[in-house]
Amino acid sequence: MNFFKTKPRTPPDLVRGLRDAIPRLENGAPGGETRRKATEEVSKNLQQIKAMLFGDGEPIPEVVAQLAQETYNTDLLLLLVQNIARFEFEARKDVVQIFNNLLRRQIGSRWPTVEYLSSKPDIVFAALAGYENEEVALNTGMILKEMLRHEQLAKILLYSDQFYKFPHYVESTTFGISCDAFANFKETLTRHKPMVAEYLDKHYERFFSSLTTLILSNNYVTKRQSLKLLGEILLDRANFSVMTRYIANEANLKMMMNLLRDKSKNIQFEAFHVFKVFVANPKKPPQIETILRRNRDKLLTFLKNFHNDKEDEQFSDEKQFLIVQIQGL
Amino acid sequence: MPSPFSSLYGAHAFRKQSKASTRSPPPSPKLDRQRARDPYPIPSSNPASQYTLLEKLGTGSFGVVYKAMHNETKQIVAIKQIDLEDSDDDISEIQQEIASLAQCDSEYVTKYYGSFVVQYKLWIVMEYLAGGSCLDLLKAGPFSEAHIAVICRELLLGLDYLHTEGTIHRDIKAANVLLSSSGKVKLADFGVAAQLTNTLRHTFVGTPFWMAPEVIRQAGYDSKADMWSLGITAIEMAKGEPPLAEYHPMRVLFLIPKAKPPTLEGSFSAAFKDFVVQCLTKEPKLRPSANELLQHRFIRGAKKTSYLTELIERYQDWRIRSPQKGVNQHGTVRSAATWDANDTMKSDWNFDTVKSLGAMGTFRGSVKDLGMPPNMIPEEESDDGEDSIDTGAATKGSDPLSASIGINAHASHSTVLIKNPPPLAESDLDDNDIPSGRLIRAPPAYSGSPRTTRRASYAARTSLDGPGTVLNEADLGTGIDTIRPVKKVDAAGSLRLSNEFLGNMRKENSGSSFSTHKRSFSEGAKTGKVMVEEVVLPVLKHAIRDDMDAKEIESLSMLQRGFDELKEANSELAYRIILDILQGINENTAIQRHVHTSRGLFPHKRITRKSEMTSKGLIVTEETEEISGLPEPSNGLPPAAVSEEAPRRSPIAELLYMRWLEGLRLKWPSIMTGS
Repeated sequence: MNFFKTKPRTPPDLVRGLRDAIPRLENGAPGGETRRKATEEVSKNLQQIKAMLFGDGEPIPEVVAQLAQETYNTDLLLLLVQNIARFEFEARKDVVQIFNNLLRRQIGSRWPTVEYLSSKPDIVFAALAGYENEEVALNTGMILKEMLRHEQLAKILLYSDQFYKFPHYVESTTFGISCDAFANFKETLTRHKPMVAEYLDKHYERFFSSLTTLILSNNYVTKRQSLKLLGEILLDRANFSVMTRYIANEANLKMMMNLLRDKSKNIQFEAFHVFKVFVANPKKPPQIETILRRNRDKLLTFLKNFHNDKEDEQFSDEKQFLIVQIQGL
Repeated sequence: MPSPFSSLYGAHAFRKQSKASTRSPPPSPKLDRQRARDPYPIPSSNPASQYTLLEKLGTGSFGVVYKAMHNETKQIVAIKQIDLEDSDDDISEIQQEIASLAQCDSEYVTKYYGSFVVQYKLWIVMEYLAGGSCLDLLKAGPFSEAHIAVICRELLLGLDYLHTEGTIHRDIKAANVLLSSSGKVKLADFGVAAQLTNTLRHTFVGTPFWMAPEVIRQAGYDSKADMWSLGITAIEMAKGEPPLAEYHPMRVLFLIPKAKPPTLEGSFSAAFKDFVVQCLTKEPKLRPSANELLQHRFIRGAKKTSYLTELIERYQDWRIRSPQKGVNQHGTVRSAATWDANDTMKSDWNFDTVKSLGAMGTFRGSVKDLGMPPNMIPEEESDDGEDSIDTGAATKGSDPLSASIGINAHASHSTVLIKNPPPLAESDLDDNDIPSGRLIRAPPAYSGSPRTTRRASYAARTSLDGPGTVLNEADLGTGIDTIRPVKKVDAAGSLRLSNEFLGNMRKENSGSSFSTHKRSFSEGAKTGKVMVEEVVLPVLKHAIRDDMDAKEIESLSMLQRGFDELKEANSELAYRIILDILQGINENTAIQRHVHTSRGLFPHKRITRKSEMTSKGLIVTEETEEISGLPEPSNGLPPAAVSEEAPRRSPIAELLYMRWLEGLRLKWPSIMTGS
């Protein structure tokens, strides 16, 4: 990456240059000279910053430290995420690389960028808002994903109102973006288990009604993925109390029993993994037991013919177990 | 002939681009990138309505590909439809593929416009390339060196872009190289592309014939793996098929890491041959990068891409001239299908017919049987819901055929390619286009394996290549699928599979003695068994060394297996054959003399004349040691090894050989009595 060798610029130069160029992206007429120059400036600075961070060989620690400090001081990261849609295609990718590289930066046991971001929730939300623009959604999605690896940052998102924009993004975007949004939604809900368990306990109603909406979506992919997520959440040990609550609710059971009969085999299968928890519960609440007992024979017939072609031993065992349980009702 | 292709792409504009970016840094972003002009889908409740499907281009393992028009811009696109219900794996995997495509903006990579879900199907909108894939174009015959040079240069540019981006393609082969009508060359099929992190990759993906040794060995690999595949692809374009195409893909997995790298044989320039040698450097560290190879003389002398339209025209001519086998897919068409990650053909039968239909069949069937009311929480004892159940589904489900197939197919989902109905069925389907070579050749190496189902499936895999492929020599290399399907199911599945397969072979070789006592027949039988186990097999085994030619390794392996199995099947016959060979050698004076002189192995001392011999040649009482060739059995065994191997023998083999001679001396008497 030596093609800019002519004028070696210091990290502060680069960061400042970038900061100054970004507002100019909106100056002048669209397609005009001013904009073009600003665009070029942005791309060039990003490339050089990237070169500094990744280097040809080993990056120089002092330079990286200086660069990082400069981005904190100037709130560059927020600016980058907010304006990413105005950058060129390759420049957007550079932003992701720069952002995520800084995010992974560690000094001993400290994560300076994570610490910085913990006090700047706006950056997390700005990354989330990237889903509103299909053109940059995958870039911001990658940044968001990297942030969600850190509990403090995931917590900021989970405990915010913005978190409930996820279902909307999942439902309103095209496949690629929707999947990405869902992946980050899931990441927020599964990565830091104790923190999430506490959240789910506190916000049970809101969360599950939102998840239910996704499960009942008309979009096959959304339906299948969110049902699977539900299964994962319920079966996680950390979420025991949430699970108990969920399987005590007869509406939930009814929904699962209906989904068992969905036209899609995959959805049936995912539903099975939630349904089994209702049945396996040793202390079934009366309303649950009533429904099961009322459908006892049908369930038995149904289960005996359910996905017999699956060569999954664990599944067969579980199914057998359910059959025994239901017989004993 | 008039080219049926309209000029979708401006050749001149392109030329400029590619020249500009001939050097290492990836093409810099185009300032005038006009996303709005691209035929990408806009999120809406019904994105499908934004396109008009024009014609079916082909069917791939993962779905059907259509030529379509973007209604708003009237641009032609290719739309791949993937049945998501068919895939067990995480949808996120498919999304990964899409994400890496979406991050590419290069002249050398097929453009991705977007994707959306319609019912159970995922529609992926991509650039349409009218020229077809190089695999299609190869049907009209191998390419000239000049054409190959152009294609290689463009591929290097594309690979350089990808590698700089930190992406490994992992499935470079002629089938994944597409041409626009003006000759632009583009990499397609990112089904298996991986984002390169700092660490080396270990996933086992690709298509056997094109896979780099380090990928197969799973020793960890990087972007250099693509360079190997490029070398193989170059040979493929020059010869019509990749090296080792005559072998079964599973054997190829064993041969590539073991054998010395293939070379380009024939009347080609030294520059071209060297280019191939460079790509096919076994040690990845020593293998040049895409960027470095751009400087190779073979590449530097390459012409403009517009020159490649010749290939397209030639193919058009060929298609017109050659009788169409009633296959409704045309080359061009299929090419578009090829950018679907996998091989077009087999899927038609394999996935679409059997699997999807079957899977749904079973399920629907069960619904019907159950007669579960639409709402599962009926009043106690209420059975009247029965008739209201989703009758449409039920009806379909009642088709017994689909239901029964479903069981089979679905069960095998995780090993899709492994358990297909036996080969018989397949051949029914595609009689005329099975490249006979492969089908016939592959099985022998495996016959005798206890895993019948598996064998069948591999054979199936190969033979199925071509429903829809027009018969041609070049097709030999066609059908081998990208391994992805297997991988998808189970991350390391394919690897394990191939390992098992190879292990299997070896095991059989070594563990051949288990059934020793099953048959205690004649002395001849016993001796035959001993001969094979103690002489033939060890000799063959030691004859195989690393870095031998693949053909040598493979022939020896087959001999090994052949003897081993013959021994189990009828050791007396093995005995007779060996003796016949020896006798043949003995009776052919020229050979015999040669053996004697070149080897000097027949110790004259042991001239103990055989009694049998006596009857025969008593007359010639010549004590000529060699002739007596009594213990002739010795060398004779491995017919191949006998004459030529001698000078190259390893010390160990020599030692074993001598030991065997000892043993034979002891056993000799019994043989005599036996016969």
